[in-house]
Amino acid sequence: MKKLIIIFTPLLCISIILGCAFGSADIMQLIGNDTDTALIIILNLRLPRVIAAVLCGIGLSVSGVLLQCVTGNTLAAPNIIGVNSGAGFCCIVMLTFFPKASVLLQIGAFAGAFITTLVIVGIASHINAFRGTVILAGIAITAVLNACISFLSLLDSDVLTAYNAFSVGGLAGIRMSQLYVPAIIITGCLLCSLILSRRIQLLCLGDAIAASLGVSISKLRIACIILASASAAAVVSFAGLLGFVGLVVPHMARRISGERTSKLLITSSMIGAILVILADLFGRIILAPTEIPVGIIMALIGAPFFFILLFKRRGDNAEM
Amino acid sequence: MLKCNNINVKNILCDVSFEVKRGSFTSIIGKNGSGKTTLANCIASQRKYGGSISLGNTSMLDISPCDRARIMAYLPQSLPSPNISVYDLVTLGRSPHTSLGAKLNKSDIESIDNALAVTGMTMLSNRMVPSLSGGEKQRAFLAMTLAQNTDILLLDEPTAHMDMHVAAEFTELLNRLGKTLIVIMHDLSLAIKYADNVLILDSGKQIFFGSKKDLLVTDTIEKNFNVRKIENDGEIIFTV
Repeated sequence: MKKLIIIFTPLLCISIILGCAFGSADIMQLIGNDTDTALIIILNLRLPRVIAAVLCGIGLSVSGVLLQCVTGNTLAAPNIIGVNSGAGFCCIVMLTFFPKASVLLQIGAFAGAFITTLVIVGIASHINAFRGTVILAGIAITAVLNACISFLSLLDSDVLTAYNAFSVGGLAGIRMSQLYVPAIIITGCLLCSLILSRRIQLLCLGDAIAASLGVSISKLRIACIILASASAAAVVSFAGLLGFVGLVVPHMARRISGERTSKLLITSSMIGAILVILADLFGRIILAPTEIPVGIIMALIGAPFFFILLFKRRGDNAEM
Repeated sequence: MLKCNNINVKNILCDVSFEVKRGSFTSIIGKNGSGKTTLANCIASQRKYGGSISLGNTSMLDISPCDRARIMAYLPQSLPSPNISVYDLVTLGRSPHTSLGAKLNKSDIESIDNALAVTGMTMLSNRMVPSLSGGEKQRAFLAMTLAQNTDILLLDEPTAHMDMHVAAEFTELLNRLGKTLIVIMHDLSLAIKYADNVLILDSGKQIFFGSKKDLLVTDTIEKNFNVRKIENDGEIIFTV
């Protein structure tokens, strides 16, 4: 564990420095000529954005690790169990019916994501067949919510435009005040996950062995899903529907640190944070001054990377 | 010590009753589909059943999952291959004895080292579980259950994927542990060799429960499994 922290902490620090130093404005030139403007850009624009990227990386990665452990399926991710569609649905409802209450958009997205997860957990618990059921219930609910989103977006083209920006996922214009509550939720979820990590590890051994080792399986699964959902919902509330981080990062971390849950959580958080900072930075500088939202960059990096992982797994005995 | 009274599971088990004494080796044998694994799941309180299973005077269902895990360890037939080291796997056996987020203390480390030593896995403790052979993996998981420090071990076909020689070594190792063992076995010769008591199931019904001595004076095994009994240097072997 110490080795991983020693390796990844400097990389994270370098990423944060790069994220603050580069963008459409040339900070190095400004520091020489106009230090005050340079400080304003760094402290008010770039630092909040880099912190938001770190929170996105940690929140979505922790969520992905938890969901993959709980469902025993390495394809599980926050968007698959319905967190994203729940947030998206609430968001479009707010945009359609309360267009002036944009302040409430963040709270609405969080509530939507969280309530959808509770509904899915409720369905899975009621059926009493948890592992695959959570994913199947998530797919079914996602389909229904996406249909509702499409219908509402047909009613008003302004709503559709606003929703598109939310659905792609991005960190442009983020303010520090938007990050306090998500930061508390994401940090809390990470700490709770680390405390539960040895119990979560038991779930990876299968239900029979986990139960034999004294784990109350259904309670632990529900606790993990709530943590995963809260963590992802906190990210969705300020960054929109950012995809691929929760799916790809746990796979990358697993290759580096193995499957020990505590190590996996730490490694995933570090890799997730670094990846989102760099993806956001890339989106800012590649077509500067035009910005490409981080959600698009993550999909462009994430999808091919995921294919590479899948091809590397060919011949392995690992189950998908 | 452990008493099963009229265990019933709809369409699978019918009135199975037997008693396991402290420190004894009880073999459960039966053809495929006879209900052996279902019975093991009932004993481990992992499925609903009719009848009662009690430990002393206490029903198993009245014991909390964590307390139960300090009394009985259960190893199912199919074992996963988590990508963790053998040492980390064995460490998980201490879960019922450690509180959430707590670090392992001296006695936990001693139990883990002892479990690795008893199963002969000390040298392999840094190996990753997926890189182990079938027999080594079975021993690694046995070490995990030994680290659990329970009086009772309930094992479902632990020698299923082993060749004859490794299976005999593994069963010998189990016998040396001095624990109360309830073992589902498919190898009749090994099941009889080490057992103090034998339970035979056929289509969910109990057709024999008693001591090895009582069993061997009858032809129950020969009739039910269509095998012949051969005595070789005092050792009883069942062959087709």
